[in-house]
Amino acid sequence: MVQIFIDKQAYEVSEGQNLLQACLSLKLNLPYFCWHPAMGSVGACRQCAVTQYKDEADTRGKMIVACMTPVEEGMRVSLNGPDETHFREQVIAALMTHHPHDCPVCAEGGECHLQDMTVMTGHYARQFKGRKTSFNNQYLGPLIKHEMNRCITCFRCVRFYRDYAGGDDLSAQASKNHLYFGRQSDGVLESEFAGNLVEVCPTGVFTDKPFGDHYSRKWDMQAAPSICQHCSVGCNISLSERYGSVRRATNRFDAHLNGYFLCDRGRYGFDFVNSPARCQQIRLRGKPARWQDEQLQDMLGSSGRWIGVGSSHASLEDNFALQQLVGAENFCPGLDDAQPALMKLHGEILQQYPMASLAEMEQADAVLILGEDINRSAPRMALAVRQALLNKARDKVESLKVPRWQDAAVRQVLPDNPVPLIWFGYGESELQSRALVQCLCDDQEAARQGFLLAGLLSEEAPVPQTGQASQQSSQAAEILKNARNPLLIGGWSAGNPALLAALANIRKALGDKARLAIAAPEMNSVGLSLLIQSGYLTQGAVKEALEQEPVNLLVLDHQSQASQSVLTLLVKKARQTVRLGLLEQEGSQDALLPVAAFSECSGSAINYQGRVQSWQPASKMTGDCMPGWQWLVHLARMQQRPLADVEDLGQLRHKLAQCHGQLGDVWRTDPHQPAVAQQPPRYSGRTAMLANQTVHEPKPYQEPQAPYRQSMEGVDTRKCPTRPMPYSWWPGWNSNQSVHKFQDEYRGPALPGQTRSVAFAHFESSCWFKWRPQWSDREQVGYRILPLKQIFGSDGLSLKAPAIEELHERAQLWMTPQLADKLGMQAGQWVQCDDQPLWMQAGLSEQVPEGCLLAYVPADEALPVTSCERFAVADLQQAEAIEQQHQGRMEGVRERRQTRQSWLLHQDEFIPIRFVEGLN
Amino acid sequence: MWSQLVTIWRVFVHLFDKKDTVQYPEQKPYLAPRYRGRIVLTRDPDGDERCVACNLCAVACPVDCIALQKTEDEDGRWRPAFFRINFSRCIMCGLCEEACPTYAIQLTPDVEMCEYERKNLVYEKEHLTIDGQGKYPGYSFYRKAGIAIKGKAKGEADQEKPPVDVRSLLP
Ligand code: SF4
Ligand code: SF4
Ligand code: SF4
Ligand code: SF4
Ligand code: FES
Repeated sequence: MVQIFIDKQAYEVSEGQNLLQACLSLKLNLPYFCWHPAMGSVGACRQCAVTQYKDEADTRGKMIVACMTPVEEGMRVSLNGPDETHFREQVIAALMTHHPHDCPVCAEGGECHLQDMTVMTGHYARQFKGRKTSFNNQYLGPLIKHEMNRCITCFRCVRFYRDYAGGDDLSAQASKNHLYFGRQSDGVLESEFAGNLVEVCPTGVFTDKPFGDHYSRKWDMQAAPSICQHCSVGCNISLSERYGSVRRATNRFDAHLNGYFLCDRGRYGFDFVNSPARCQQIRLRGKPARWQDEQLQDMLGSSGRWIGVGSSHASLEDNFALQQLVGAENFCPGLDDAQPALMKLHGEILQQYPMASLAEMEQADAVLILGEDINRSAPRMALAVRQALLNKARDKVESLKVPRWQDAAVRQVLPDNPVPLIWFGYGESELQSRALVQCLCDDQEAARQGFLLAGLLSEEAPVPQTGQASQQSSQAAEILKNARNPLLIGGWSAGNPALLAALANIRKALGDKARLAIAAPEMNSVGLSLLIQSGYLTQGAVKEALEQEPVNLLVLDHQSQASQSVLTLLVKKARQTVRLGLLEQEGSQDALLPVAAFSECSGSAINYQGRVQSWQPASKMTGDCMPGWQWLVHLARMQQRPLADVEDLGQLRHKLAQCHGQLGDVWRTDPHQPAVAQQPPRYSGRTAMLANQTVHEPKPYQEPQAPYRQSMEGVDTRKCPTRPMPYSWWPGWNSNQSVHKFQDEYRGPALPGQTRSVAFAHFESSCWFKWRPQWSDREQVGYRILPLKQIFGSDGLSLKAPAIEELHERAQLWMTPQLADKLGMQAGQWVQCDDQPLWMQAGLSEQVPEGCLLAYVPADEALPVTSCERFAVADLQQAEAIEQQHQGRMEGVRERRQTRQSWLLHQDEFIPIRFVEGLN
Repeated sequence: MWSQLVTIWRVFVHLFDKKDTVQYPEQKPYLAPRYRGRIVLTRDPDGDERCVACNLCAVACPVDCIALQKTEDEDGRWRPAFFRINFSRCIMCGLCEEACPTYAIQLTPDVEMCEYERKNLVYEKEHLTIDGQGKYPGYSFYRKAGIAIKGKAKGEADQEKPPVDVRSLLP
């Protein structure tokens, strides 16, 4: 800690920060633009000017920019003297000379950092009389809207896009008053983190396009703390609602996980909740039915054996309720055959070692990635690893007495001070291209090398009998041995448990200095790891059971075509099937009970680290929808099974915590704390929005004892610091930058309410995993097909969001150019494998292991083979047909978007009011 | 005693003053144009809707009786998809008019708004919109704003230079 004097008052601040950061940490209002807590300082905007004095006697002082000045013991500055105040006002005045008269029609309005800073500096009247510069906008894809006139040239966008996230198709162009931030030409922004520009840009140059289509001001939206549903990282998001529909997802600061940024799948994927394909009605054999119908009651109440199929897309509570209802011996955790083994192993590893949070990953000084493409399977994790790659450069500048947050200096020395990244695996990706040590191999070889690597690091580690450590493995062993903070990353994508076991062995060999992270595919995959500890049924066992006796099936929703096809087979054999459906699917189940989406009810999931995270409802349920667990409780009552006594979510969670002691009081809320209002203090239109339906303003519906209220009646988020914030706002700070008012320092101590329990107690002593020959010696003929993922397409849930459907990639088959030559194929041709109906577009890449092909199959298609021998290439006619089919689909997407848009606008006017008290 | 007599005299003299009370409703008092009565939505000089659905009136309203939803038309203009004022809640304070950046929402001197049914006091956009410009003729927001709409490309707003050629090397 050092003591500094600001406006003659003494403050204690921690060392190593810059003055701007220190002022903001002290909750003093100092305007700024170009500085960003995660991106460091470059001193581009001069907005944060303050006066520094030599000593007490100095009365003139000199002007400095706070973000470029490290705090020093005894430093004296003034923020509010006449000189610097005038200077800051003039900086804004200059920025405003060419700023368009747009606020009323600007989607940033009401949460604009530029508006806030302008008010803060006191600038109010335009002094410039000349004509304004104007710019043409670019088309940047379906996610982001460009309105270049509003730019204040702070350079944050390119610094984020290029430096922080590694994109290269956005750049600063031209000069002076003509400075332009855009692409070379119109086109979709390529980076999977492009959506963050919306929050990074302090003005309305980049705005959220899908949100803009169905727009509402920030002050008008009821928000809820929520969790991203699209991968196992479990980034914290905030969902906003207006007139009964969810409008957008924004980043919710979390010190451990996402920090300030999300990936685009998370930011835009939530939109599936507004999909017209959402199940809204109870159905019996395809026809709308009512709960009271006798036939339905008979079906649901039928005795006999029930088998439950859980889903890693459903909440922990739903899966647990299902498991309780049918019994652990009748619970199948999912329809993917490879997954249960991975689940089991992931759980076992979590019981031995804690896993690194993203914040911890950013501290690494050596990284090993074993057979996983985290750029696609856990995008935000890849972004964290990217930041770790700067650590050596940061150490270097520090040794030269330059602070670590001097971003330009760090980037200057980066090429000569790389953090070693070791990559074993296949496929091209951003991290792969930056690897220092690379070994191109399939998952089996990667696992084998992993085991051998552990053997190189420790004598005790079991190694496979066959195979030799490659040169890369010995290099890797050397690097990891010398690293202070090595990070080991793997995942489930290849479907090979050996990779997980290998990583655990390397972790054990390296000891506690190493950190481990394993990416799971779905947001709640690890939740199922917890539930199946007491036993489970595999998909094969379910099939067998169905063959032997009449069995009723009870299924939670699955979001992939692969599971869907398995399910279709099972349904045929089952006596009857009841589906708890979120989205309409083909296939004939006997009864369908519509479940509420994550935006409409509370729930929890366990992320890759074993961290339990809960979400709150942002809007109300519509139609017949109910939370999955609630349907299951009703079923339990009809069938007189355990669970029948559960009245509310609290009791269910209590039961869950009883079964899994470690969960303890994850969900306990302090009953003496007042409820938090989900609506901001200036939420407008309350006495008019329902007036066309009733002028008697109905009382807002309130869940009893809920820690959040879907109304203004509760304390605002600032006054309840122990609960996750629904939205971030502070007087004078309407933009997302207000978050610094809630935190001590960037990635400092966690925000209140964010220290969540870990579902797996690390009580077991660690053990070595033995190599199993079956992990590598699978029989096969022809070429092995290795699975590949894509950001937009591999997750079936986000694929239901129109913007993401528009961007999703079509099936691809990658091969080496040599192989393509041999097979007589060319890039871009459409290919079929063996007799599978799926057409895949051939791609050429050097990053394909010998004797293998890489197949990316979107979640709404399936390729149920792991190897193939024969290929069929589409002829001209077929290719045309495929293209036409695709065009047709895109046409359909656009059409559906149109109808959805008018449907949503209609709903705004006639808000579904089923759950509002005082009306029925 | 004297002061009481003076008071009585003054009251007596008032009997011969000009009368302020009028025989409403047969006779109507003059209300200034700035009088705060029934609210209307006006049009710009070209006859287009002035309201851009910015929501500022709604947020300024102390009784929260304005609700609207933004939509964007083919021509690039922001418009309210619906615009509702619940006059049974409105207190005619005029804050919405103060807040409106486009002069769209204006209060008029029409104060005769009694209804037997409260729900008849709920006005939608079609009830609120008038054909004229109201008290502030001549102002068109889109002529000042930087966004492009149909009929006004980038650089064609008042006080705007033509769009920059980013490829040019000249400063
Ligand atoms: S960027 Fe901010 S200041 Fe500029 S027009 Fe938009 S809301 Fe107004
Ligand atoms: S586009 Fe936004 S982030 Fe980029 S320089 Fe302009 S104002 Fe800054
Ligand atoms: S990284 Fe995963 S959890 Fe985070 S925003 Fe992206 S999809 Fe969601
Ligand atoms: S303030 Fe004016 S322009 Fe904005 S929504 Fe209200 S009436 Fe429309
Ligand atoms: S924030 Fe300090 S110069 Fe931009």
